Amino acid sequence: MHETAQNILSLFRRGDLELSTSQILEQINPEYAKLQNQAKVNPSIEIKRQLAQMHRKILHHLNKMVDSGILNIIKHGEKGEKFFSLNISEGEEIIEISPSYKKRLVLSRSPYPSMPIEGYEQKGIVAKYEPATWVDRLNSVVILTDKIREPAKLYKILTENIFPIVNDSICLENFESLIDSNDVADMLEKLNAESRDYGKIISISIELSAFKNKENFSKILELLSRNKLENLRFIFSLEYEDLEENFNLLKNIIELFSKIKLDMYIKNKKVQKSPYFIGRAGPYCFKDKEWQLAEELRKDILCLGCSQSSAIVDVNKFYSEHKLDMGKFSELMFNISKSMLSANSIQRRKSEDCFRSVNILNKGYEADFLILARNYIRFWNFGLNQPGMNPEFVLNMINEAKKKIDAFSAAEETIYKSCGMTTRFNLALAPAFHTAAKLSEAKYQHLEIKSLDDLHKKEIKKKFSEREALTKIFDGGDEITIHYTGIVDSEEIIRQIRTIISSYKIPLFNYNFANVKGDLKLTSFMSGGKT
Amino acid sequence: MEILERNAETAWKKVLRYVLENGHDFTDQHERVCRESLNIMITIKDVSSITAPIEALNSFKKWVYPPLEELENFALSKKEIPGYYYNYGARAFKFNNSMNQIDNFIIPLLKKDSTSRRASVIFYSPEKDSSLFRKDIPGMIMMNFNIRDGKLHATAIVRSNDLFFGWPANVYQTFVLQNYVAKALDIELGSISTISISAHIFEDQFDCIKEII
Repeated sequence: MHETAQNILSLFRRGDLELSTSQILEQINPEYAKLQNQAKVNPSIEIKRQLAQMHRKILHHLNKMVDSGILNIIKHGEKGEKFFSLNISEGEEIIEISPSYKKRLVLSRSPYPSMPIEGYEQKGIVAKYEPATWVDRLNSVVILTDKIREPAKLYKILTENIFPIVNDSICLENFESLIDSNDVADMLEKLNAESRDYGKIISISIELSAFKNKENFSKILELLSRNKLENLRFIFSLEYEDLEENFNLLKNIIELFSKIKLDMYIKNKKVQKSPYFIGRAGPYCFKDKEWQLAEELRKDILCLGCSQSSAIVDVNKFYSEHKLDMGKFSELMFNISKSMLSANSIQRRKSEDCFRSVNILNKGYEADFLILARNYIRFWNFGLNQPGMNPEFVLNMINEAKKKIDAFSAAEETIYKSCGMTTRFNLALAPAFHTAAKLSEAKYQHLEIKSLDDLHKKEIKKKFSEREALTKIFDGGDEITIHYTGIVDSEEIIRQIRTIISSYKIPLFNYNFANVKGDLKLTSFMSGGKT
Repeated sequence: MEILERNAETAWKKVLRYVLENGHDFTDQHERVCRESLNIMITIKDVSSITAPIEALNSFKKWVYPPLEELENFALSKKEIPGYYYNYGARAFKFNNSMNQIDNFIIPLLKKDSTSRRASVIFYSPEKDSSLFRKDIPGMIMMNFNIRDGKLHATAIVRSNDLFFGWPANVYQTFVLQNYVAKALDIELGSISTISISAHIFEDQFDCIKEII
């Protein structure tokens, strides 16, 4: 292959999808740009002649490449200038051994256009969550479990219709409606095995006050005592009054979860009514106000998309590169937003293929599946609870970035609407879990609680208040993990839960029992399991 | 008001200037100051550089305009697309979940009678869209195809037309459907006309519009 042709190909290999004759010339012949500048100052016939000659020469090579099927002419510009693109499809490759250089040339077209976060990705500041399926799959989906009466049917829907389109988490909302079924424990065991194999997290959201058959739930607790269902997350939705009414049940749950060292999530339903759940990337949620639309659609749909694509920002790495430069941080957020917009656009174009399995579930209402979905920007090591960082500054920086992201999203929704293509483009902020991607070592301090007294300490109260403030900014969800290090006393923990839900507007918190002390006998909770 | 130009970019600049200088201001339901002229017809004789207004919008770095592939898909996808409230393709090819207006009517009609004046595609569905509670309904309500002098001419009627952001996309979507029909009929592309019932621009766009014109 001629050297000029190889140079032309290398331009397309860099990721440029379409180039005009002039753009190609500018990039492969430095003389061309010089002459163009001269022509601006002195538009002599001689300079124009030289420019035209260069055009003819490059067109000779370009036309040959079109004839041999390597390039396409995609359009003609205003003065008849030709625009070229690679004549290969996604994933196809052109392979050639150059006879003169004995060089193997491999050229492949990326399935996606270049995005303005790639530079940050190279520096490790930004990571796409699950890059291989960043566009083709959603991060999370909510199933309206109360619409499915049989556990076997739910299992089939999850494994056949939902697993193929999700790369992180599935929330089974109102799972209490299925607990009356006899085979629910078996189904959960099978589901956990499938989730482990396919790399999904299942959030089982249970409304504590809506329990009818507490007997059946003890079967699930029994199952948990036998097998640690590591891919299932149990989220108990409750409010102050439920603590008294379900005291014994909750006591049993705490005793079991602490015994098997399984995380126990509490959703404060006074603060958040709509689904709030957990994935590998971090927490997910909907906006309560928007969820009203889902309630209106409830009779017609079975599932709803929650998160489309996620980008993880390793803020500590950003600090190392740019210090606390608020302008640079906003620029980063703007570039992520543009990339998300591009990802959503591709996803919509591919939606017939991507969402075929789920469209069957919402027949007649397919277009509503993404009506509440958002994209997630997740922060890791962002400086709160990090020694040496000013929490106020961190909150302010994230808040300012949020305002700019919201303004960009609103402007883009307006543009799409003007084009007749009314769509939703919404970005949510949330923290990232360390399992979200390859990230820097955690810098923040754990929140450790031994007893109820700890919750009244000034230092702990301050941490909760800071987190409460952050929850307002993290509209995509937040979660506090309480590392319980004392001797397990379930009644004491219920009192702690009561204090937290009545004192703070924190939607979701989690008791981590990895470091609990004492040796609670399994039999002690099982025997008291009937309430 | 009628604007007749050779290409899309000059027509676009002319209509933007016209409304900027002659439109009447009012504040719309979203609290945006809107400058409007009613019933403007724009005809483009040569469709070869139909994307020029989109390229001009892309030259601004303040926003991201929908890519051409997405605009095409929106006009040609025969199914409802999750993520949009509606799409012109589904309305044209599967109106109310049944009628394929293009493949089963327009193309056979024009094959049978090239002088027909009946080749109309409707995007607006009164059943779905004439609701006091529904906010998002098609802007382009119908399109018409006529074969004259051996060329396929397309006319789109747009009930509400943001001339700055919307018209470049609408005229491209019209071109995409015109091209689809022309290919099926093996006929040359003719002109594109748009009739904008409410042709408007917004106050927050004025600076960019002045830059464009």
